[in-house]
Amino acid sequence: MNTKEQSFSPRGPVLVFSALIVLTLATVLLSGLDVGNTGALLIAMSVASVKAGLVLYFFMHLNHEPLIFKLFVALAFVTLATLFLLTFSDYAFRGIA
Amino acid sequence: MSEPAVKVEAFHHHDEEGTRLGFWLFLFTELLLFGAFFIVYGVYRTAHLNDFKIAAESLNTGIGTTNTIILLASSLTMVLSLNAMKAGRVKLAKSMLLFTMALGTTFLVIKGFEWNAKFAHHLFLQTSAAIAEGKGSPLLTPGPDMLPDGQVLFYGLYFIMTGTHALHIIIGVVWMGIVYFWISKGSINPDNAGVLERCGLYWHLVDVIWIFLFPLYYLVA
Amino acid sequence: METANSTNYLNSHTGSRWTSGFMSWITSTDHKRIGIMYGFTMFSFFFLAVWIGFIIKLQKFYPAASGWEIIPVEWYGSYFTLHSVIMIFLFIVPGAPAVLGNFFLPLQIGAKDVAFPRVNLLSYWLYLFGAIMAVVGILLGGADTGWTFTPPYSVTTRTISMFGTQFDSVSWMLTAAFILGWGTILTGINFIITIHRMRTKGMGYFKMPLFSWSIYAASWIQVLATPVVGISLLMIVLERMMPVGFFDPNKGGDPILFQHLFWIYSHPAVYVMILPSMGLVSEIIPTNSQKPIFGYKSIAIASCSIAGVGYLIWAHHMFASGMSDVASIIFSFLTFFVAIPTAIKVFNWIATLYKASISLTPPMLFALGFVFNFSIGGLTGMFLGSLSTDIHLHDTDFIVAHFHYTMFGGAAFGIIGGIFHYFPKMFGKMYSHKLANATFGFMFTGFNALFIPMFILGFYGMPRRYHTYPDIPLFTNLQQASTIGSWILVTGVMLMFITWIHGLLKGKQSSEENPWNSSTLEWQTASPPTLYNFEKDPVITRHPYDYDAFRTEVKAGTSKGARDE
Repeated sequence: MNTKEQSFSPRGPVLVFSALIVLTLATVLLSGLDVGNTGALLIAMSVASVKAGLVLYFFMHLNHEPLIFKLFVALAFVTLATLFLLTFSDYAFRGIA
Repeated sequence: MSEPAVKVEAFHHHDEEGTRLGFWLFLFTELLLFGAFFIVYGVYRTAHLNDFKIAAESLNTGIGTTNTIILLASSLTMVLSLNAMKAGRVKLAKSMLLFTMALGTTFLVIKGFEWNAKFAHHLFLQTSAAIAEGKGSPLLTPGPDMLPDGQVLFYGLYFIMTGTHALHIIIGVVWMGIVYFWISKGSINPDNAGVLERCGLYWHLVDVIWIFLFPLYYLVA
Repeated sequence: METANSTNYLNSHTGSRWTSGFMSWITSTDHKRIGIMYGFTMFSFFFLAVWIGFIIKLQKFYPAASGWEIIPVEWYGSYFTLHSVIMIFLFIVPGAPAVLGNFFLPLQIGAKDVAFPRVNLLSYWLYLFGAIMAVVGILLGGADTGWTFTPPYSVTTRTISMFGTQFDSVSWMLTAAFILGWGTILTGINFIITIHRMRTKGMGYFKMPLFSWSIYAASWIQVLATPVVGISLLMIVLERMMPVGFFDPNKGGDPILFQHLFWIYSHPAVYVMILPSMGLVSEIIPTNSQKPIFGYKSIAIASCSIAGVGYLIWAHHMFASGMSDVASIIFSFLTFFVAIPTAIKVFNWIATLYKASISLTPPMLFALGFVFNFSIGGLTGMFLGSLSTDIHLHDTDFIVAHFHYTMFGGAAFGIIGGIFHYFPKMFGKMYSHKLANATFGFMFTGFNALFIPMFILGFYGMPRRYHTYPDIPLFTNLQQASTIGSWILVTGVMLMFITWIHGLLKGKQSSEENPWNSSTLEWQTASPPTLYNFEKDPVITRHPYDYDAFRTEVKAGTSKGARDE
């Protein structure tokens, strides 16, 4: 990590931060809309995913990491998504809602 | 067992990228840990939709939004601290780290007030000792003012999930304190910033988890 | 130890010069010492749990009407919980990765140590701490939940120990399992990074020995599945202490959700138990056949696909739980997919034996025993994966027999075979082959005599977890056959310990590097290995199982890996 030459500029992180704030305010405002339970959940989770993506990609420097890091992260998220999907293959059809 | 006189040099293997990759793997375990919570939340939200909505009304969206912005800001100062360190500006890195710690602490203080308000409204999960003393909250005393199951589950999950998250924040702030000390001592420096970087990764992951907790508890009521 | 003319990991260490003897072991970050410590601890617990299993089988010798009661009824649950918790959490899950993986993974890929040696030591301490906590807890309080901790029973049960003491041992054991979980997670992280970052020059991914591949696949399961069970176990602890009903149907919770979370981990975890043993068999069979393993790449890829498919099939443990029919059908369907990579491996092992010059050494006997037992275990698993037969066989002795065929006849035979295989490398001594062969004879006979009757018993409806049974001649005869089988098996296990201890104390000292003439890298260094495994960093030029090239190297005297290059 010999990067002393690397100059310090807050511009990039501040831009990402601004985007995150805008998205936060947007999701708060959008939650006022009457779009039903599924719609509200869908909007909220989509915005949250975009925000999480920004943090992972820029703040956690995935953009500067080798491919293997990205593959690992993808594997972790795919695993989590699979667990959700298969668990709900039970609950969606059990008539509990 | 006889020890021979030969003194072998300890094995020093330093692989910054490998260490970082290993730390990412550790972060995945945190992710999956909270993932299990999210599955539980998802299932009970499906099963008790109305109760979840009613209970969520009692959470203050304003406070939630404030805390979200505070955490996002702390992520910004954290990344600035690392960038400053890498650029050799140690002083700036230290002050940015202090900012991050301050923001993390603010988050905890606000969370504390929020929890306290819930305790005051008896929305806390009383210990069995409290019930025995007759101090049980309306949740527990069977009677007309008892909360429905779905709402008890909501508060149960709310406390355990935000509680686990708050525990991670506390660990993060303490870790940053240690990192700050090491920077002051010079053992973390622009050429050896790995610990600061991993501390930052951890802090950002805690932020990512909050990014999902926030809408699920404060917004989709 | 006695021959101090060369330094090795046993007679010298890298720790502070103030530490010696016992301290130099428990503070050692040397992967080889940590592996040995795991082995010692694990097999101590194994010894204890074998005897508990023996008592459980003895209880079944006479039917209910006889009044035969070795274990008081109210303690029967505690006995089988102690047996299963020790065997699962303390023996077979850490099993092969922690002992042989720690010792041989770095050797196989030509590394000096694992990626994070200090974290590795931390894993061992976590393991030791959690293990002691679990055993002490259950002795003080007597938990009777089984190792699955299924609510609502695990939330409400309050037991009294065999000493009459009252103690919340269920919460203790859950916490202990959580701590043990962190131990295995850290081991998993360590191994993944070691494999990705520390392979020696020329050691491509598809030049790694198959044991390393199986460890790699198992490590991913440890990292990505363990946290899920960790947090659900803690939720049971919270539920026991606080009046919230996460899994209590009376309080709006869903007990089946716990089973989902539990099996999300625990089903992949059975592949953590079996994969490394498959890896060991993939080492033993080509070595004792002196020819390349058949279908190297397909075995490597099968290891990873077993780990992957293992995530998708957890709810086949829950067909009788009240889960939705749609989910049952999906999970039953997906379950059959895991048979494919598993069968590929079995066929490859058998194809390796074809026209080979087979030496029936003790490790080879265990490897062949593994293939035989595991095939029975795997195929009966297909009965249970089919929805309709499972409804009939669920919670009977058939299941108990099935998972003992995979976990004991499979995984444990693999580990024991692996230790017989690697014993001369680990200690520089050779055990008595006569004793070892007798060990195998007793274990294999006893094991099959013990569990084949249980398949039949289960098929005729003998429920599991019952301490007794009605006096029907069929039941009594089969139960007695099974109990007699357990006596033979215990004799075999005791012989195994005798063989090892005899080998350690009286075994022929031999610094021979490669007693089995194996072509893989871990055999091409001193026995026992030197502190940092290799004199020089080895350079790999050939396939790990290329026996033709290996024989040429031996003739040319360059067999010590291509490391002199």
